Amino acid sequence: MNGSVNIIETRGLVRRFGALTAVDRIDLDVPAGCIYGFLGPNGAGKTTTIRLLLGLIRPDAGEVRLFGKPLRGFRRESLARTGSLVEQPSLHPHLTGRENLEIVRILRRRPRKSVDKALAVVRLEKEADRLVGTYSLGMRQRLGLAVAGLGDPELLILDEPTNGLDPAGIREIRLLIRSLPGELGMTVFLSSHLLSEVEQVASHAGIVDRGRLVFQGKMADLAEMKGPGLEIRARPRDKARLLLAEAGYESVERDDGALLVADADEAAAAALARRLIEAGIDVSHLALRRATLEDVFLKMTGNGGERSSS
Amino acid sequence: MNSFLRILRVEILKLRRTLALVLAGVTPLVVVVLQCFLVLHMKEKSLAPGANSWEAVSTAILFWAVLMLPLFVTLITSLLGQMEHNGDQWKSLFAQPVRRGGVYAAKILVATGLVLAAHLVLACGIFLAGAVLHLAFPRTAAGPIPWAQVSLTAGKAFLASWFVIAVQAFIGLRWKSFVVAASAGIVATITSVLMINSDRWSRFFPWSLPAIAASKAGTAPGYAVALGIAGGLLAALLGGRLFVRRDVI
Repeated sequence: MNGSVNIIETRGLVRRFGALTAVDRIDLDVPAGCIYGFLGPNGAGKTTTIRLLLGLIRPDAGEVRLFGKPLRGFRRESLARTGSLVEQPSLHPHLTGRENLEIVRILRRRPRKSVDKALAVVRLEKEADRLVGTYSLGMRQRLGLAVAGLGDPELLILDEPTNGLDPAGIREIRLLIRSLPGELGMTVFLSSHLLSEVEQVASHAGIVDRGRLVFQGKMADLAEMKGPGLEIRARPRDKARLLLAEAGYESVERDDGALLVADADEAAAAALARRLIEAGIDVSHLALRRATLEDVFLKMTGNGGERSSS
Repeated sequence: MNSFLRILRVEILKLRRTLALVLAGVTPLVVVVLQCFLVLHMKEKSLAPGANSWEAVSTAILFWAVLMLPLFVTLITSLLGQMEHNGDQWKSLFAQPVRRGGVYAAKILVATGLVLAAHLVLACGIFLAGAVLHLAFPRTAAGPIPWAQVSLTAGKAFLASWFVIAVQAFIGLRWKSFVVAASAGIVATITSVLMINSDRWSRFFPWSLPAIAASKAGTAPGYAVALGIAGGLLAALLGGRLFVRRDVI
């Protein structure tokens, strides 16, 4: 496989729920063999997009192509090559871990030994014959990943796969995901609301905000967008933001209340400081800093409030 | 293995450790035991010298068909639905390379299989209870054992129940809440009991058909069986069509 083939491709994908347009003209290009981080705040449309990719819901407009073939018409064929985990893993609590995998193995026509392999990959061999109802949240999440990865599908679609895992578990999953394309030639499509979770594993990224795809490209391209930025703490904050906007600088508010201004150089910093103080705004902190990827992400999604701070 | 058989195999696997098989065994036996108590209560008449103890117990099929069968179908189909509604199983099931219609058909087939099993238990229970009563009351006649009559009546009740199975399966699979399926089943069963004597209405009511099929009166049983099968197939097809088109959220 080479990079010229798009394993996932969507064109003009639209899905509405009543008055809400959850997915608004999204064009995804996910090249073969990549790890694609699908990023956006909660409620941006990530899960809806994934449901469209899996054919669980129908688009109002546009098309999904998996493996170069339209999902409409080739749904079962494409899904046979795709493993997925959507939101919380769906597992039967009255069955054992092994039986839950067995269900997927039968439906996907995989050899018997693929169950043992999947259990080994997520290190659940010892708990395999316990009822899933007795599993901890982390164990369920791992079993969900085992279900998704059973039989080594060519495409893995994971929606927030590290939800509910402790830091050690998150690290483990991250290592696992990173090893997949190299070892098995898999393509991984990974959604998260946390950039930090994806930036270390993904080679490509798509950022979605309010149903729109606001960035798509290589992770490195995203990193290049990190310009110099300004961090300001001022009171009253609303007035400060208004003033910054009047001066032609868009700001976003971080969880801790700091205002971030992208693309501001030294001269701009001085000018803005003067303007704020002259307008009677109390400035307690104003610093030029190199923007992080997180700032880029924040700026693109224009929303710091929804972001979790881990 | 063909893809439908694989879905069916998975559906049967999922029944492990559920109450489905227990219900299929216990509910018909409860009816047989209750009928035994009734027979013993009126033993001067029902177990009189020369009476047939098997025939005395076989009225259990009618009680079963009127009340317990529709409730059993309600429970079984909701169980099959709840299994997927709880924990949002539908999305992971339909993200597998399966036809949704195949899953729907497999669910109905499993429900029908469980109802068939219950009828087998019912018939066996009647033969067994008849034998026990005959041994306990040697004054009753030793035979003939009504093999054909009991099997045929139970068989007719089973076939006439297809319509109810298809309707309740749709409700149980379509609505997430158990209360919807349970209320529909209970209300319909009570309605059926209340109008069982009204030929005009009950003959079109799916929940009444098994009871009509199990009754001995005239040509009605044959008609109830025919409507049960036809209505069942039609309702299953229609329900499947509606079910397949839904968004899986």
